[in-house]
Amino acid sequence: MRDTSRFTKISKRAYALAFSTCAVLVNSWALFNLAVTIPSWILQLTVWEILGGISYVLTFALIESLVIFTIILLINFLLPKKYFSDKFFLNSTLLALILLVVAILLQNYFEEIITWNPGVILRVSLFAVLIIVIIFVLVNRVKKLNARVYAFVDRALVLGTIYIFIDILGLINVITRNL
Amino acid sequence: MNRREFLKVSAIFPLLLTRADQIIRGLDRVGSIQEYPNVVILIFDALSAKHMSLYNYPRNTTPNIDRFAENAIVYHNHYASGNFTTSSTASLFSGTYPWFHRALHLQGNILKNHVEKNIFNLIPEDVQTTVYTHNQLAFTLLSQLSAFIDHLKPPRDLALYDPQYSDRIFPSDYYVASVSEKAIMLGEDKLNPTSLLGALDYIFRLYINKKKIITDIGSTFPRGIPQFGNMLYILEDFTDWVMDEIIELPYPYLMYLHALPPHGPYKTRRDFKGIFEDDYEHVAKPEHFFSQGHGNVYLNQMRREYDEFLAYADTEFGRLYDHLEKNGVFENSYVIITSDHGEMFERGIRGHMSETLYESLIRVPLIVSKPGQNKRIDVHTPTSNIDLLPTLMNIYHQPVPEWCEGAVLPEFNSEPEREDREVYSVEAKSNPKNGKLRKATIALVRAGYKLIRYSGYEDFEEQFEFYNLEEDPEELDDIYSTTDIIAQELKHIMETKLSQVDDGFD
Repeated sequence: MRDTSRFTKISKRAYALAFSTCAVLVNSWALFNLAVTIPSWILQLTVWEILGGISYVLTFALIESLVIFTIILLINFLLPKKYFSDKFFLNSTLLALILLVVAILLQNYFEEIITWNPGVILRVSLFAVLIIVIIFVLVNRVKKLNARVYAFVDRALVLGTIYIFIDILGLINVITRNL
Repeated sequence: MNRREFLKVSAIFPLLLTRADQIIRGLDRVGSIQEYPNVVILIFDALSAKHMSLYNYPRNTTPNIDRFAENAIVYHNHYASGNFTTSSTASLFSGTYPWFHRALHLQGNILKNHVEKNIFNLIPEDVQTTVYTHNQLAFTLLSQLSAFIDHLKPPRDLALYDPQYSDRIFPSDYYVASVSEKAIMLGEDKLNPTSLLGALDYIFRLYINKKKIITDIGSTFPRGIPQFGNMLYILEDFTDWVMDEIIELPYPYLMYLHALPPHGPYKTRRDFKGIFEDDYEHVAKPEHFFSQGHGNVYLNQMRREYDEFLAYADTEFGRLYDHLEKNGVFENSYVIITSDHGEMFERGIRGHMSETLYESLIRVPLIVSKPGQNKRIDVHTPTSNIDLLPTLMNIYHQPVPEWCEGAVLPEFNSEPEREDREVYSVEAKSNPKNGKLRKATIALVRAGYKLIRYSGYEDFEEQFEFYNLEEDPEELDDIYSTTDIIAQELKHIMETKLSQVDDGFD
């Protein structure tokens, strides 16, 4: 019988893997930049205040992981299953990665980009979309790349679980500090 | 009382009810005016005394403050205890030097065990305190003291746009939340923010709001809208609010007002742009070992823009001054104008984010008008912004606390002026908050001489500069020598003091 649902039923484990991948990417970026910031905090904050500061950063990372995960679910819902749901692991990881790269580029070059005229912005955006599509097609078709992404997702699960756990501790600390 | 009389009297009641708050305020004013005077403290951020026509600067930058000074006490050798807002403002609030309160860093705050030692806590309870600052660093400090302030108005209330969120979402943990907000949304110095999407949203909202404000009033501010960090403001909103508030407040009141101009960036109003395009060039000074690499052409251009921004601030003060005069505020109030630190355009350095403590950075104005004062008095004794707390205690007939390091200002007590008084200024942004002052610059001014000590910096362990301020007010000729008796005496005084204040720190 023909499958009439818009997208393939995705297991809970697949969702967990996708979310932990988001958490790994977001938290790794946050913790890397936090590590460079902390020496200046050590000069002026107490240990308890530093823990508080870290907690805010982690809480924000948790919220951001959830936002990116929601975007992935939304895209999964909107796109035909053959383009996304069939390879949910792979595509969600790629999408999270691309979102983060775009965010980093925009953060660093925003002031330059806003000086471009709309025609240039449109051309660059179309070019970026084209590159993203090519990446998706390549990773979906080339088995070696495909395998690499799966390997990354597998390894990300443990790290992702640890990150989510410390994010939740951070959230509890933020709530406690503001009671 | 007959029916007709009863109706006449009852007709007054609705009027009484609608005006009840004004009547009560009026009664408050009449009832307590005799016991305590009103005090208005007005801070202009980064206002260097060396740039004011009041203190003989060649450009006519402050004609309205000059007007105010005609009926006030003008302190000619007034020093900030630090070269940036946090440490200097904490000194003003606490009457202590930075080595005591330890708000040493940009987003620093006062040591927990010293929080209660502040002006707002010490003044009589009857005095209503209303506080506003544009400056978010000063607001961080004031938030720490908020339990002692009746009405603390956040910077955003008089801003055109303020993207900060921690004061709204985390008011009870504001200090830590605001420090981490910077790391999350902006990143430290040239580092990336820790957030990816949140920071993007922040940048985007800032861009949209800035664009809208520029569309609305950009032509009035051709060099850009005045801003501090990412908060956009215009001084007119501040002046308007003060003018309204000051006639509404119940007596007695203490108003602490901290306006940002002429703090950089120097984005003056259209009518002041270009008013100082003259031939004036400040005396060229040798490049300092802490130089930021700026050439004299650039520094002179920045000096001109600063002066034009200062003229804008002075004009707004003029508007306020006329309003205060018209409403009789000078008759029953002390009005104090000062600054938290100066600004420099010399030796390759622009602004005040510097390890140096030259006169342009730490010599700030202090002008005090006593109630009903109608003549100018000039005071040349060295004074410090830590003297404000004991002077207020004197005004309110309260004892000066034992821990206070300041002294009652000359003209407020009967003691003879002490020309040989020691006044310090401290810069220790790179020193740990709870550590001995090892990496720091410290200046000591005494009897017309100034000793500056740089210690703990990367390229050298300890270095001194010594100037005769009376003969060399521009600090051009460093006369430090190990054989100079006065220099060695000042060095000994400074070292003794430092060993005392470092006691108890690791």
